[in-house]
Amino acid sequence: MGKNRLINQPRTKTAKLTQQPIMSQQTPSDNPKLIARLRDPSTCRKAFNEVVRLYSQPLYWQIRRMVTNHDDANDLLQNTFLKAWNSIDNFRGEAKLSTWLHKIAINESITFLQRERRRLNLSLDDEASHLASTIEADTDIDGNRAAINLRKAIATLPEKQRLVFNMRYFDEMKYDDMSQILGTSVGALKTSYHLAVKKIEKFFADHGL
Amino acid sequence: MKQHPDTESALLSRLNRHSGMTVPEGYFESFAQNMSDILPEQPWEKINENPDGKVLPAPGIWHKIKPYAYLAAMFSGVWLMMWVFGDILNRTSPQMTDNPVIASVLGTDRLYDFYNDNIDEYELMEELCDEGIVFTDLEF
Repeated sequence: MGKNRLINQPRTKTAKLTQQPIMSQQTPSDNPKLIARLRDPSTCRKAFNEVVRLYSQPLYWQIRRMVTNHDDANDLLQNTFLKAWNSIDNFRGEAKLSTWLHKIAINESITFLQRERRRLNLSLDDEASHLASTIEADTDIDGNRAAINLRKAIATLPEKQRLVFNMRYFDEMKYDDMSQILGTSVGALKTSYHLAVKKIEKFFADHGL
Repeated sequence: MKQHPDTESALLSRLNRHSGMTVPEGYFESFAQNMSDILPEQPWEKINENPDGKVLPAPGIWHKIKPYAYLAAMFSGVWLMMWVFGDILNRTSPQMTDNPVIASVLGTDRLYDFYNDNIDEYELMEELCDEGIVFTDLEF
């Protein structure tokens, strides 16, 4: 993945790290004027740059929580915006812009995880321990042990439950919006979330945390 | 501490939606700038932009019929050239009958009499041989 990276973000040892904000406080809502500019060929590029600026944070955190590693998340975020730009003709404004972008980001993340499983010859069960070791090796963290344990607990969840838990717990996303993005009924999403919470509590109990 | 709406889990409330993940400072600002630089050119941008970078109006009906108009103009040009050159070639090899004086003479017995009086039999034979006429073809 790294060799295909288009943007190499500079890293310095003294660089101050920025923490993940609460998503509901900064997720942008769809702006009709922005959508209109996206659909106009003469203003499309500038409007898309604005889209990148507005949506890079929420999409980054969504991807990062799935793949755990900053560099992979950075690559996938680029791919997400490139795919959105290359298929901007397909965005007709019927769906919400945020829904469309989240769908692309989730597809990119899931495809990446599947590719990694194949590359490392991992089964679905092995993936949890692989993700746990990736979390331990992650350097872009604030050192909060409880948060690391929570990430490890989330890593033990099946892929769909992990997505649902992340979107609901961290992003505080509405079930209706999640339903549109994931193509799953609200009832099924609520059940998924409930099961995920129970599994996370069990993980903490089993590990004496 | 705010209680999460979906769960009464004390554990999740205690963690307060904190993932502990971070990004390098200024990451999102530089990402947006770099992303802007690597976005490939779209097909419509190639059509609508002139070398000065000014956006031109969308192509109209002339843009669509231009190839056919050029094709028609090319065939008209070829036809005109053939007509002009044909006319020039005809003019460079004028017929004797184009001259009104010669034409008036050719239609009378005076030319025959002139040949008869001034060309002897040998010269006539020689001229006929040059024309490829053999004696057996002649009827006397």
